[in-house]
Amino acid sequence: MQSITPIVFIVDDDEAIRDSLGLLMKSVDFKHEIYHNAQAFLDNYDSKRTGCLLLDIRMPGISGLELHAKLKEMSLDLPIIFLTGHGDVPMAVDAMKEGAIDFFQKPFRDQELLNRVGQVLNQAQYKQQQQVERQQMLNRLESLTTREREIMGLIIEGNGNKVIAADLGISQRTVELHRARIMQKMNVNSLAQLVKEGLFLQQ
Amino acid sequence: MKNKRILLLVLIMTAIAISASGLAITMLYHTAIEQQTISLMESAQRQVRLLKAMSLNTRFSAESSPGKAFADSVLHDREARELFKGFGDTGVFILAKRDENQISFIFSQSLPNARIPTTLNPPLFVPLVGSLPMQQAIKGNSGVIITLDYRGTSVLAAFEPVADLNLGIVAKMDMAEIRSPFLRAGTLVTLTTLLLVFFGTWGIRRIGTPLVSKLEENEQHLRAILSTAADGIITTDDQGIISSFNRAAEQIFGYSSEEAVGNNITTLIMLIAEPYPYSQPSDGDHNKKLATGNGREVTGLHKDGCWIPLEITVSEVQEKNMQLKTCIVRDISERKQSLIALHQREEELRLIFEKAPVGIVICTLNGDILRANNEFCTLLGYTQTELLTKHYTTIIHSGDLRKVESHSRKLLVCESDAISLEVSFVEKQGLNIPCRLRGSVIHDKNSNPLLYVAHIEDRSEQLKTEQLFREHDERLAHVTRLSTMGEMATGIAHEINQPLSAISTYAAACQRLIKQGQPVPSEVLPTLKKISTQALRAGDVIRRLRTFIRNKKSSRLQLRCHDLIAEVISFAEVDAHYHQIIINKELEPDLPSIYIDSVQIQQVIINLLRNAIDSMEKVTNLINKEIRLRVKRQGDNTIEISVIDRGAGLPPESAEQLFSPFFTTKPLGLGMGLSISRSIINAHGGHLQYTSNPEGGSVFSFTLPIDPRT
Repeated sequence: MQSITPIVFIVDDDEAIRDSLGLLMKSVDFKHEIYHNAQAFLDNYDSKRTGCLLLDIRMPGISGLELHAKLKEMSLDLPIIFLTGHGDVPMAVDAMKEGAIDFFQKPFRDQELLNRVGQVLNQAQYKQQQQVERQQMLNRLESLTTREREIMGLIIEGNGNKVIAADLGISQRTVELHRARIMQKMNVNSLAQLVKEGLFLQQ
Repeated sequence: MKNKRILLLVLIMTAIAISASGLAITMLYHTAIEQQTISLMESAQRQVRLLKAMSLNTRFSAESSPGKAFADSVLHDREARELFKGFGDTGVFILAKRDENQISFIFSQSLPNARIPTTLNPPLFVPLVGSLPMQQAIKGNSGVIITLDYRGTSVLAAFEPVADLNLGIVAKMDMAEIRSPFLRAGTLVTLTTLLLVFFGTWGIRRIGTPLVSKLEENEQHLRAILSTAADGIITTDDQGIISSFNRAAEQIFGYSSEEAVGNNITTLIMLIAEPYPYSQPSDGDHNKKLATGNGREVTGLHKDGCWIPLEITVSEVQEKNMQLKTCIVRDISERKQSLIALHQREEELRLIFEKAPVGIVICTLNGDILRANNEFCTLLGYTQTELLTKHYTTIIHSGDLRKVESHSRKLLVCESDAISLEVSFVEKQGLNIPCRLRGSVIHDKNSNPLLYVAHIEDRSEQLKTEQLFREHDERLAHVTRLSTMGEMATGIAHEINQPLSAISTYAAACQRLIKQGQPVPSEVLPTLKKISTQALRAGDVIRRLRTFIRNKKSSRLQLRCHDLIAEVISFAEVDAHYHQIIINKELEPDLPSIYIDSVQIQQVIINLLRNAIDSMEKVTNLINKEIRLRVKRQGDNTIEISVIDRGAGLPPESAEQLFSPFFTTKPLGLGMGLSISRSIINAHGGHLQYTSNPEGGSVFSFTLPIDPRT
């Protein structure tokens, strides 16, 4: 099982900024990584890792906005908080429209930034949690036989054992046995739980 | 011509001689003929008388025989005649008898060598022809006649009748005999005359020709001299009536010789006793008589009415009882004109010297002031006389003397033709006057230096104006810098924001670390240091900003190229960074130092970088967002700094007016940046120019002279 601790990725060309941000993250025990430009980040980024991208909007080479666009292009869903100088608000607004989480104008209040980063990290963590759960469910689903999966579908649709048995032309007893196996394999105790998982997987 | 005349003379002389002698001979001839006639008449009459006597004599005896008487008469006659000789060579007596209507010649006596028979028996009958005198004689006439005889020869014949005997006697003589002495004499005279004439002519020619030709030559010379003489030569009598007027005089006065001769020189020419043109002649002012004298300057009147300056020499010549005047007249218009021109030139030069708007001083080589013009006197507040007693060292500021001396030395050794230097003069009140002195040396013919000449121009006003201009330029440059700063404000704010953000973040982090109760000095202390570094960094930006926009006096100092570029880049990068543009510097190694006003040159570079940034901002999707700042040596004495961008570049029509004031392509631009930049670079002795970048974009390059002390 991989680590689900989200990471704060700091990309800023200004050394002092990224260094101070790193220290700030460290002071609140946020795991963080520091990159001095967009390319360095791209080179090291692993799509499986999640967290929050603290991104300077103005950088030589690939700018913050360009990196944002690139990530979207690569379908990487990394939440981005832009750090802007004053006067870059219109740019930041554009970035928000493009799907950035938030932007902070430098210099920023540390608490506000940390709160927002915390939120994002939580969300990320939650999302990753869900991701993990979903993966687990998928794994469980995969452990079902074809027959069991078929029956599970019918159960989720709300069919009773009798109806299922009639539909499949098997005995009611067999359906009950399958049902018990499904409940066991899917690691649920109630029908309601099973339905919930089934719907979750269908998303 | 000469020979013809001589020939004519000779001919006339010959004709006179011949005709004189001819006349004499003719007169003698006529006298001779008269005498001969008389003598013939007498001879004939004598014969008649003789015959008559003889016939009387014989008549006695003739009584007996009349025939015999006749015969005897004739015989006697013949005998007598034979005894009578000396009747010339051709003298002949002819005796004839009248027979009825015929003449019968009885005899004819002549010289013994005469061919006519002396005896005619019987008497010969001859026709009347050729016997005209005989016929007359027979007729009883007497006289003399010149006629032709029977031989057809012209003869002088005297005829006389012998009335009683019916005889006629003719005494005749050939004209030829009478003429011959005269012919001989005539011939002799003619020959002698001709001979004399010939020798005379020859003699005259021999002696006369050289004399004549000498005379002619002299006369021709005289004539030639007169007619070709450059001076007008006029001769007059003592009343002033012109008797000769040579060609030069014609040319001078415009009158022809024919017009002039016979007129009074004073009325015709109107000589004014005053030299031209100092007193313009007025009517009646001219002198009536020409005074003698040498080379006086007078004014003459030309035929066409204009006045001519003349130089006249009048001399008197006593010739017989007449007093003649010879005037030698010379047109001195040209001399006068050049003299006047010279005077004018001198006057002009004097005026130029005096009225020149610059001070002019002439000094001896020792430095004593010889002449000074008004302007210079006014400039220094001295009078001319005061200045002329001064030495140059007393009017030049002591601090400048050494400079003046060294320059003067250069002039003296011909190291330079002219010098130009800034010198302060000291005026009478002791105030310093900054001047521009331009000096040169005047040399004599042998190139030895004679005098110093110096032009002195008061530079006070100019310096003030220059100062004003400089201040104006500086103000303008300052305004432009402020404007540039305005454009860069966002970038600068950003650049100050960065360290501020870092500081704030560092501080927050430290607070948290400390609050957490687990202060880790190893973590906090370095952070505090970082905070101060960032504060300094922000301060640095502000310091640069202040330096850049401070309105300070221009001052130049020696600076290494690398330092200049580092300073510029650290400042310009603020802006570039904000626009996400990289400035790449390309510096040649070992670049020399330059002597510049650092702020001004920074202003130029930043201005160019800003333009480049703006230009590149206009281009969307620019991949290579970099500006190259290139510094390299160009030749031995200059460096070239180029700002090369990949921006939009310039349309050619804009490139023309790029450096004009108020030209801008920016919506909010002042349009002074490049104009100021160019004047800054020019003031530094460099040159700013634009070329288009072949890869797209613009290249602005400027040169700066390398500091000669490095």
